[in-house]
Amino acid sequence: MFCKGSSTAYQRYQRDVLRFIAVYVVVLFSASRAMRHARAEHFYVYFWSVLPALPIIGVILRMARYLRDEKDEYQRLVVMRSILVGTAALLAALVVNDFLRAFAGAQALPAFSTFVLFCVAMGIAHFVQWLRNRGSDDEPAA
Amino acid sequence: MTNRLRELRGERGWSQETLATKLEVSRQSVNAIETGRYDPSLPLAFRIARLFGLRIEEIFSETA
Repeated sequence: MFCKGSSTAYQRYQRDVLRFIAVYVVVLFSASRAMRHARAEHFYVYFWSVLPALPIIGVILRMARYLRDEKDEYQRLVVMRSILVGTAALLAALVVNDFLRAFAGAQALPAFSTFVLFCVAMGIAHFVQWLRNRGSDDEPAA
Repeated sequence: MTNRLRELRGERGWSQETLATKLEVSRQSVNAIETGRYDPSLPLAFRIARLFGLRIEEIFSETA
């Protein structure tokens, strides 16, 4: 949907992000399996706990590289706005959850939810911008 | 800021895609500039002006 008319930098970015997500899924399932047999004090636990975060960090670094590589200034602006919305939504959710935990005894956000929240908010922002720019495609100019 | 990009493109019979290819930007960029949702940077404004053989101020103007 978003690929049509996208720059090569954006297509490369999307391809690399999908690769990181595939690695993330494999590592997450491997970590879950490995942790069933691990003892809490062991170095092994820390290793497998941190490992699934690495592909996520890879996605974040790939975003930064995309912003550097993108030659189309408007497309770069669209992605920057989306990242900003994702960051704002995540920060707002974490701040609200912090206060709920401090004053209302609420639970922390579910495990693995922070990056998902960021991606969902970013995706919605990207979709809204795509919808706004979809109209008046190629009608004859005045 | 307003611009005459759509009008100038129409005079030459170019589609948004054609203009985008000539400017080495996406069609979405051309659409966003034409509809006034995005004001191009100075380097892109110069590229547009050069392509149409006009001065920047003959294409882009400040809205009152």
